[in-house]
Amino acid sequence: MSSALAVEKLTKHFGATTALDQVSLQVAPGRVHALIGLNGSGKSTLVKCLSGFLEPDSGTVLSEESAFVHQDLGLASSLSVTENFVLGRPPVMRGLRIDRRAERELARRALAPVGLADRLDHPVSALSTAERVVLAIARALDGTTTSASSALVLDEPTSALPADEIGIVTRAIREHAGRGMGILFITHRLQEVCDLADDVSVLRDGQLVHSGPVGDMSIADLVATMTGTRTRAAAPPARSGPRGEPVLHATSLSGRQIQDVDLTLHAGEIVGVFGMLGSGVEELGGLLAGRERPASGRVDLVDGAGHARRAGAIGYIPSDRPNKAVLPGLSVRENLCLPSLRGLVRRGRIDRSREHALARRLVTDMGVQPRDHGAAILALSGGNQQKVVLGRWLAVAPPAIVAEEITQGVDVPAKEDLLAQVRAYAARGGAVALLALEPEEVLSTCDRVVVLRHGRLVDAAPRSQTSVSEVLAAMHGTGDDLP
Amino acid sequence: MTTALPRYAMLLLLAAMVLTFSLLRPETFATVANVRTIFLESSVLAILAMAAMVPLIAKDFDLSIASVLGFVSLLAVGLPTRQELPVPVALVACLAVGVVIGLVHALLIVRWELPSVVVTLGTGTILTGLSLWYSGGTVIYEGVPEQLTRLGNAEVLGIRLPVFYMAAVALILWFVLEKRPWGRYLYATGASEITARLAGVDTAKARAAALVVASSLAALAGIVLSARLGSGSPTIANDFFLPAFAGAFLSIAAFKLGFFNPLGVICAVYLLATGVNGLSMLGAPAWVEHVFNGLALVVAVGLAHVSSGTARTMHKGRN
Repeated sequence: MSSALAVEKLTKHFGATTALDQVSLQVAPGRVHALIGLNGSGKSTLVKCLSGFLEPDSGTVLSEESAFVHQDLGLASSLSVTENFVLGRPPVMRGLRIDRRAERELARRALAPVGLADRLDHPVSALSTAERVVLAIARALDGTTTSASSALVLDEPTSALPADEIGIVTRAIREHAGRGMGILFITHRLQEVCDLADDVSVLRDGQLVHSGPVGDMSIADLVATMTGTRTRAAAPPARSGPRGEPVLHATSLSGRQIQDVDLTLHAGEIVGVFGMLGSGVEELGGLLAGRERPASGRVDLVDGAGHARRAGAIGYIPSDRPNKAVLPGLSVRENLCLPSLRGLVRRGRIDRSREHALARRLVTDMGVQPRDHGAAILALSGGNQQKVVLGRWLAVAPPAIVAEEITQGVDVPAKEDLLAQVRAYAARGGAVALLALEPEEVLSTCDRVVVLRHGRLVDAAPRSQTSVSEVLAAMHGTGDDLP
Repeated sequence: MTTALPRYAMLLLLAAMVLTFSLLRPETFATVANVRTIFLESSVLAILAMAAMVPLIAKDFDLSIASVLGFVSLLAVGLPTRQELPVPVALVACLAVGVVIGLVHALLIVRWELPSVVVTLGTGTILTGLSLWYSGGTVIYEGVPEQLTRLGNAEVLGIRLPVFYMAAVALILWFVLEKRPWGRYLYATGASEITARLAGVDTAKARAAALVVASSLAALAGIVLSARLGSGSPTIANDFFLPAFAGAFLSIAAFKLGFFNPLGVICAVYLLATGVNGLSMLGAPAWVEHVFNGLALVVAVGLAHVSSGTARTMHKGRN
């Protein structure tokens, strides 16, 4: 059987790490092939090798023609559907002017089969997320032959979709597969694999551990294949003493995605909050930390410090580090000391020696490299930038710290340093919420685990009784509750 | 620890320029009278340029500052002569006008989140209209009390008072921007407002204060201008707008590289004033002034961009 897309013995190293190890897989014409794996399993490296963004160390990629749709769809939201559709191609000219009618006809012909025929003149901003994905897919396929030897690679196009919109994308993908294309579709959503894919390949630690028809594989089977021997979290470091008094109460908190969330953080306790994209976990951090206004419900600090919305009362580490956590163009010291400035004022002015002493202490304690606190923050690696962001809050010692994706874009040694600092802060009586889309990296640091699904808290359990695969199963909603 | 030279390059350039003109025109340029003229003539402009600079730190534009200066300079001579207010009362009223304009800007730009360029272009145009209405389109010069003109022309240690006003404003701004939390909050807001806010900074308050400071300093500049000239003109604001912004933007190329700063503004304003003065003594025609100012702005900002750009690419170790 010929394939639409074939990868043979692909290997890619980054320094000492092997991102892909002899990976071979075939996407058959007319079939939807899902590719899954945990964070760091090599999925994104494989996609980058397929698109030619990365050159593999060895191995080959065979494909007549492939089109790509990435997570960032690349649509201009103020332009119309038609204008976006023709954006990448040379304009259809009629004499000296663009033939808008011909372009619209082109768009209509391509978009009618996927249900967008009546939205041609709408701005993309008026489209639902699912419709945008469908448009991006149709545009990527424009100009390809849609033959048995062509392939479409979808790099997590559905990860940002609300659950009730996925059907629209599913139908479009099916429509394209029906015309003979092979579709490789990278996803985090295991439910979609079961509902939509014909075949599934699983990557784990850079190796292909499974490739075959989905058949009657369940979500639990997929989780087991993805996590392999890592089903049990690393042995918990013994935690000293019972958890302390409540520090922060979230009561019936609702926002755009989350509904009626009740959560209490206790002194000395690290709570892991996990959920898939779209589960509301992205939104909960800002609400818990008092940085966003909830649609209803409230967040209160217990110690009489009053309402959590008081600026900076709760430490907050947002997931979008480059845009929301780092002050570009400023120094490590300025980034570290920003929330502490008022406390550094002596005789009407910021005391320079106290400021430098604080920066020096934090840089040393956190193990920030380089140790020069006058260095530009952007000169630091991701892990060191994250240490600065955490250090900023450890300096003011707030009663609680809410951290989103604290290990994202952070190398392994820095990750351990960061989590050790979080544990030390909790041991000093701080309350911590660690929010993450994927549990495997921070689960072993948590004392308690809660899971969000479709905007609601569905499960809570002490970490010592919960494994990565059980958390994943709860996030995906297999019906098995946490113990 | 970064090399000191670029930080002081503009100061050195100013020194080199003074030296060159002194050698070329020792009998006119290098005289005490001429130096005093340059200092005095530029003091109002320097105060106004600092007014432009303060909101720029947090990436807000106040394009109305020159119009505030124009309107207030008319009030400063008009209130004592036409409304017959005592000079101290008139001057407090003038400053209050500046504060109120700043508060209106803060409401529109910070609270209602309207774009600062559009808002201040609008308020500036309104003030230009009010200036024409109040003055009747003519220069107000009759019966200006000596109490007012003395404030602009008296000398201490052989230096006229406006130079002291300018120095005081620069020193106070330097102190609050470098040594008080407010200044740090403004620079942090300029680096990334969302980051500063999530780190617990009340960025709205910091920006609002910057807008009030800008209008108040512009009003002060208007008072000083009238005090020095002893008259108020409805069209004088036009001459101040571009040089003030040139001075503000050029400040990022001196002392605190890549950041707007008050000492840089002073240095930049004198660089421009010295260049224009020297060139005119060499016999350059009037249009050369504009070409010189524009060229200096583009070159200096370009150099600052290149130097900060190389600093960025040298450490491209992100993630």
